[in-house]
Amino acid sequence: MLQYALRRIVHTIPVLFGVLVVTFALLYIAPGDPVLAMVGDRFDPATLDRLRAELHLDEPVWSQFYHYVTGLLQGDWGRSYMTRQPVLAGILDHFPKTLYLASVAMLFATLSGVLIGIASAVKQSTWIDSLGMTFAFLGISFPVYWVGLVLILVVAVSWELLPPSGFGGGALPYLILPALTLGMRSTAYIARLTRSSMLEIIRLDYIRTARAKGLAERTVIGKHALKAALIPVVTAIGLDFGAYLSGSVLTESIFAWPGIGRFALNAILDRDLPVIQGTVLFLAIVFVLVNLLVDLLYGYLDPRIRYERAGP
Amino acid sequence: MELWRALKRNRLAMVGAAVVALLVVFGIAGPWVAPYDPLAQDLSRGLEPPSAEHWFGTDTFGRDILSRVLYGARISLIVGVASQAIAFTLGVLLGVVSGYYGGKVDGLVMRLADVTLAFPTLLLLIAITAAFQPSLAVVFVAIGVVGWAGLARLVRSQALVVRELDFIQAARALGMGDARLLSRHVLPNCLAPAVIAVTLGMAGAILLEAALSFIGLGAQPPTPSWGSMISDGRDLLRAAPWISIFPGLAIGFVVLGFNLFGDGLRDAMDPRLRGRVRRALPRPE
Repeated sequence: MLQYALRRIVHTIPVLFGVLVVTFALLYIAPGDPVLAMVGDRFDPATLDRLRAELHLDEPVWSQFYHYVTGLLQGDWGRSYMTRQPVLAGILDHFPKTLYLASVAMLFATLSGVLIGIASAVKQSTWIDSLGMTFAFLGISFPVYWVGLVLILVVAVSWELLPPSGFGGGALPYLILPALTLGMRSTAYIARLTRSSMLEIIRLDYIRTARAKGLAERTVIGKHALKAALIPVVTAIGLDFGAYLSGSVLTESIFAWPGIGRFALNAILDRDLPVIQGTVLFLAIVFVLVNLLVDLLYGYLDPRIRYERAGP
Repeated sequence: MELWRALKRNRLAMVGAAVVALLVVFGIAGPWVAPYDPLAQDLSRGLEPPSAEHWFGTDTFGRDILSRVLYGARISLIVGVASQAIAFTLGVLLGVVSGYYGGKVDGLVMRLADVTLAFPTLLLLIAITAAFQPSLAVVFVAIGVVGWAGLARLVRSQALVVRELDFIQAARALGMGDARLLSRHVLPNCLAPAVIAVTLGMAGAILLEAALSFIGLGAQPPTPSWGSMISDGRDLLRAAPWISIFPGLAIGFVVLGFNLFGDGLRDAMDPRLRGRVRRALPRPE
């Protein structure tokens, strides 16, 4: 296990380096002069030159990249063109709200997805199965932001049950609709995965043995089958969670949720390049690290993986 | 032929195929079928609810939503086909070469794939499209370029298996050159997962384009993209929900079609690929 873990961790280093190159290139290839964007309409040429020198923009590319990376490591992620605030502070301010929303959404998706999946597998080819799988197919097909708008229209506007948008200091009523919306895709995906994984497991010999020795069906399904069936589901949950932390741009924008996705989107609409660059880098790092954790967890849960992947 | 027979037995796959066929028909014939000009404004008839005259109602500018949805089919079709053609070409070529030759080439290609997949898809696309002038062409090139990596991984793992097969070894022993061996024998045997991935990838590409257009980084007004139409109705949800509802239904319907068809195709071609293909695809949200 240790060898597998080390191998996997070492493997992330070139990936993170590649991520740095891409985010650096993003600012480099973007049209427009960053210095002009910083000084605004009124400036004198001397200021421009001074700023260029300060930002190392008059140096060759590799040197700029070096300063970019060393700056990042020292906590200097640049400043917003719009607010002049440090980018890293903005990121760290918004990220916890995204983490909160993503955790609740994932909790909801896991519970309901696994339940739907088990019910569909146990009652295979009945109306319960059809209903569950219809939902699963619809859930991965409809755009999340559209479902969010429909929920707002029905639940918040017509029935007036919940607030349509906003953070509300993190109060539960404000959380329900965004969490449902964000979690919908995962719910559907987890339901399908649990069902197919469960169907494979229930046909195995050890389950037949468990039934033959007279265990209650509930114990057979809940204890023996579920444990094995959930291994692939754990990976899916982990990967989706990683994606939620980084990709809730649409849901956050629909519900005016002040997380990092909305922070990134506003920066994009303002063409605030340092913020775009910083958030993309931060979220990619989070995504890579969560994927690493998922792989390690998977290797721990399923011994076959660590031997197979450690092979030549 | 055998594939078709297997597909025909799968009722859901046939439903999916019908939806895909419908998209192709409307994508091509939309302009002739549409009852109105999708760009023609009639401010005196703005925000009309669905009626016999305007089945899906009208938007703020009095434009007919049904006609706009029909035109939108063309955009979704173009984005789906163009982006997946790019992803397929890059992914299959790099995947086969990587799996067949192994060594340094393989290492380089797979590290590139790792970096591409290290970014959350939508975020990377947003960043790319924001760096350029927003347009539909940028969108489908970006979706294609981001989509190659998962495909390359899939094809590579297949190529690793194929290159060890006896008939490949035999052909090599008989003196067949690499180029011929690759194009004649290795490549055709690696295509099944790629074809399935591209079919499911269409669904993803349509969702991604709609998401980008919804944000304002895709098709520019007045082009009737489904995503930007949903965004048009966003602030009028209470007064005129139909503006957003119908394009959203169109997206869901078409994406569902590709998902059903793609899954059916996978079951007919190679059920062992279950789960692996979808994992290789970029997340569409």
